[in-house]
Amino acid sequence: RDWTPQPPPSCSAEYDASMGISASKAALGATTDEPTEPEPKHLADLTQYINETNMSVVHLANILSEKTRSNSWVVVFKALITVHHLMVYGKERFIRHLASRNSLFTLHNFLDKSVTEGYTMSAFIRRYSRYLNEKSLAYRLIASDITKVKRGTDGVMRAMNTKDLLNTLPVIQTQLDALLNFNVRPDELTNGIIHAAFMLLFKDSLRLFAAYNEGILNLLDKYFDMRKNQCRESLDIYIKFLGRTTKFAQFLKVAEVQKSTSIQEFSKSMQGAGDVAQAVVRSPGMRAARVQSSAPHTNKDVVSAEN
Amino acid sequence: MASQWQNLGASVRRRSLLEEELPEEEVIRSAAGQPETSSGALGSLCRRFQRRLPLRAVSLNLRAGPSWKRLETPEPEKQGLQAAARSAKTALGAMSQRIQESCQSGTKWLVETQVKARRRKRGVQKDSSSPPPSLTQKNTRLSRAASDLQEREHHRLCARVDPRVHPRRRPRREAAFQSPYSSTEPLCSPSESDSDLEPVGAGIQHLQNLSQKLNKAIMAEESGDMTISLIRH
Repeated sequence: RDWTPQPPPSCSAEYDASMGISASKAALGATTDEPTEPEPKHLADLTQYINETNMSVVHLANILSEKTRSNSWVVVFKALITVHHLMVYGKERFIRHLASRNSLFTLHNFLDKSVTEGYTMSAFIRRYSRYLNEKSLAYRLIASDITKVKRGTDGVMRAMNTKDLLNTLPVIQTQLDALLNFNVRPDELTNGIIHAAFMLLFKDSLRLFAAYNEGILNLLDKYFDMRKNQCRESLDIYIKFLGRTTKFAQFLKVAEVQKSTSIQEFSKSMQGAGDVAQAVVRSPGMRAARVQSSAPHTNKDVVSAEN
Repeated sequence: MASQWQNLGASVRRRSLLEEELPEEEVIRSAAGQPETSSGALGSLCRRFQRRLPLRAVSLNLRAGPSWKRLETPEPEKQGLQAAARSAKTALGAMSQRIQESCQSGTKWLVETQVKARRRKRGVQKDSSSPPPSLTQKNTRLSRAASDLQEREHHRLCARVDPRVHPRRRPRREAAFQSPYSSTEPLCSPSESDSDLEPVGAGIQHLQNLSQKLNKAIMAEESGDMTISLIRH
């Protein structure tokens, strides 16, 4: 399959249609009702289509969105994983298009009663779709994918001014809440499909929390130069950060336990997860969280009910 | 001459308060006609002084606005308002106490001297870098700000304490406003207080350490991705 851009023919509609058909074939291949994770070659083809051509992603997004309306949890879950994969590995034009849509996934009531595992998997589908909606909404609110911004001492979150920081950190908090609300235990990762979703969530969680942590460092640095109302907001954001740190540590523990990956190279990232988990436990956030274990508003924010 | 203009300004202001709906032209017209009435008032004042009449108390006619007397001794039908004000005061006090506690516990580890931070750091990891010099200033500024805030809140709320407040709440509130080291009710158990009192530098150092670990984990995970794609192709 050749994705190299051809000179535009006289009839552009035919050209667009032909490209759309090729991409849609890959999309259909990635979202079959076979109870295995989406085929890596289909995902690679779709990623290449987005990254190496300037072809429209509208038709591709329509195909995947249509698949999420299926009654089968397998098809729906695989469609969500494909979308998430393209958000992570594809260029920003894909997530930009999804963020421009009026609504993305309306799976808050999804339930597949046809098979036994449908009940459990449906719960994870509802949480997963909510996270993808939040990810898309976050892109719309801050006009960038926070998981792909530059990190480090000269990174985006460290260099941000006070006003943007106080606007961006709550958006990151909301996205992180939706991610951590996936709330899967190691014994619930029983098939390749949910395992693939978890790996993508783990990937996002590292980047999201890294950006969050850098934002908090910047916030502490700027605290003494803030106005009174900004200080109050910052204190509120910091108190919520303490709660999220606790939950993130639990999420990393699941990632550390989940070592049954098919490819050995992922164990390196799992070792990294263990180091991060230890560092999180030793952080002042965790100690303060133990002291403030009676703080009601942090628990309310972190432990949100499903749907 | 200057006093005439001052009187003019004062009378114009008085008129504008009473007649708020006057159009602008009328206001200007009335302002233009002021010098005559102001000279009349000045004249009557002069005459008064000439007569040397004894000064008498002026009765304040505050019919339009609220009466201070009424607030101090509430009538029976106004007790609902007084009760609402009391509950608002207690809620403010409770909220202030909560903010104080969260500030104290959250900033407990921030209000340590730089000397203690350096002493602890010698026993901590070797690879930790020394804190930037600005953190010393931030330490003292923060401790000063925290103690100032405590004093200010204490004075403000003590002045507003209603004697009818529940007797148990006052000692607890007053204890919260005192220095945490002199309070009879410790905010945390003695075994935890020492370990949780970390200076600003060490706390930020931990977060920076966490940031480095996260970046390492991300790089390891990305290198894993690259290896996988190489294997597949």
